[in-house]
Amino acid sequence: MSIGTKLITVSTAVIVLVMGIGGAIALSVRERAIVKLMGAEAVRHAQTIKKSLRHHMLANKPEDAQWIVETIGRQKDIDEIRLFNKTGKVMLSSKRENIGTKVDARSEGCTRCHKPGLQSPPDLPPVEASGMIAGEGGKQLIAVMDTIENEPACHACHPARKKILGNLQVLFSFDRASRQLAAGRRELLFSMLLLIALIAAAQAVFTYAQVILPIKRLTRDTERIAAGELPLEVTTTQSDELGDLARRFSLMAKSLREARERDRDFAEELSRKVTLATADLDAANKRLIEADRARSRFVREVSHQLRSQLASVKNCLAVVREGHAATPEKRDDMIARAERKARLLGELVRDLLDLAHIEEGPAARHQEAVRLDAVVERSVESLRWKAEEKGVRLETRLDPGLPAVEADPRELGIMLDNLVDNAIKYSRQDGVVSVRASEERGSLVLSVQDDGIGVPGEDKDRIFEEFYRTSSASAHEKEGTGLGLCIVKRLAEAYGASVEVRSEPDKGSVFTVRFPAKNRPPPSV
Amino acid sequence: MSDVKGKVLIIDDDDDIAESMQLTLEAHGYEVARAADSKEGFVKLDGEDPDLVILDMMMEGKGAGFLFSRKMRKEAKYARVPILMITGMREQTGFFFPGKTKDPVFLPVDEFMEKPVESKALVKKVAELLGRR
Repeated sequence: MSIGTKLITVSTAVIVLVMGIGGAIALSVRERAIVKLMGAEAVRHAQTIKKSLRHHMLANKPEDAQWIVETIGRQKDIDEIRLFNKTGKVMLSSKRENIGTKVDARSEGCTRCHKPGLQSPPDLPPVEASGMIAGEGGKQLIAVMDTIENEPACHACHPARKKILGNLQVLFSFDRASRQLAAGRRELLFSMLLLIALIAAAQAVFTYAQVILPIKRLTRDTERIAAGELPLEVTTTQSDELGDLARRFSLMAKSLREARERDRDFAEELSRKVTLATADLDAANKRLIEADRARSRFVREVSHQLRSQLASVKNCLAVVREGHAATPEKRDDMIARAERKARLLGELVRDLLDLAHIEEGPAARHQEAVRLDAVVERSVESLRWKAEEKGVRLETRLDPGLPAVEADPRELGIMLDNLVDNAIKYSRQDGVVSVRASEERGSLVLSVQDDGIGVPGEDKDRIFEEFYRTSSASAHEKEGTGLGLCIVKRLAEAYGASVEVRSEPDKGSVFTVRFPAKNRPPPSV
Repeated sequence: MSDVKGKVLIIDDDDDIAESMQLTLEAHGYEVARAADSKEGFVKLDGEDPDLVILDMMMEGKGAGFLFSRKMRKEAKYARVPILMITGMREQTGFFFPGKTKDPVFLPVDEFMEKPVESKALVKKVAELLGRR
């Protein structure tokens, strides 16, 4: 049973009960008032009759008195008017047939005032002596009793010792009043039923609108929340407890929704971060795999180089040992070839050691304030024999007053040696290789220029890869280790410096190393 | 030389190895021509009309010798000239299907030799290949 049904049922029952009791009380009050009113009226009638009869009785005209009694007795609502004597014998009656009959002393009309069988008259005023009695055939009557007292005027006919000459009783019929009362009861019942229906309907409507509907709305909203669907706002204009509950509920739903949004945002953020982290990991893993592959390729390439050079040395020496060289010149040539290959092998090993040293990182580095001009001079001197062998002129252009650079002098030497060696190798016969150290906008700059074959545009980036050789380079000179520029690049990276090459085919190349300004040691050093 | 045993074309970008093989083969009575790359190789193939080709597999930093052999076999006039392929140690691996050391279609060469090539073995192999004809 829903709370609405309960509320309406209980309140309707209370209304019916209250109105029923109220109606019954009202009805009984009204009936009593009517009886009292009729009693008073009956008393008035009785007194009128008594006064009217007095004259005819004094005139000793009982027929006229009988006529008056009959005339008045014909009036509406009057059942009977009678006069009876001490013994109860009816002297006059509006109902002529009752004259001479005796009043039943045990009847209600007498016993109201007299004790049964006792004739002592109570001294009661007529109004109080009147009352409702049951008449013949069970009909309701209002009886009014009055006494006709002996007065001096009566003494002509009645002896003075008699105090009471007779009793006047007027019996009013209660039928009409009873009908009116019944009609009144019906009216009251009908209007009460109507009122009950109206009040019940009104309170049902009120209960439905103010209690049941808001509860239904709240229930629906909670169900929506339970289903994961969050309402934006609980709409209510109610100012009572239910409205308050709905508003609090709305607040709760709102904070729930906000919490859920925060959770969702957090989850999204988390998932985004995880995705990013995963991507980073993937990228790192790919880099590792790539680095691993590059290392394998490098090892393979190094072994190939070492084996090829060794095979060359071995073959050349075998030709000499087995006497396959037809002439002494051929034999000397073979030995020279073996020597050259052996030297190349030595250079290869040296470059590999240099690369390994660079890979060790800062831990293997002994930094100090290094003067660039000194490094340049030393490098140029150490390679001068190579240049002279090829008829290449080595030039240096060192800006005066260059500041020192914070570096490992050995590493700077290796870098410069490789650049100069490379320039000599690829410069033309009787060409010029120019080494320059300068300062540009606070950065120290080393550049090595040659006038050789140059680097084709498409190879400009790749020449710094290990063992990479441009097609023109391999045709021109096969005696390199293929690691020189790679070492230069790695060293530059280690110092945060940039290496770039500008070149024009057949006109030459310029390799420029630009150190970052921060590489300077403090001025006091 | 009246007693020339045959003409050998050596195609190898390592000048020293080519030279040492040339001297060895010449000492054993072969006539030798040389090319330093694939392009020169085809020119010499036409000009010298060799009886045997000695080919370095890993020329020019990549498998130029491998490509050369396939290209050479496609031309009818060189289809029957035997090829002796010189490879680096274990370099063959990448060029063969598992368990198949010789594949006339994929790598159409007659013999392989690993570097460093022993002169006696070289002479023996060359004589063998030329004698097969």
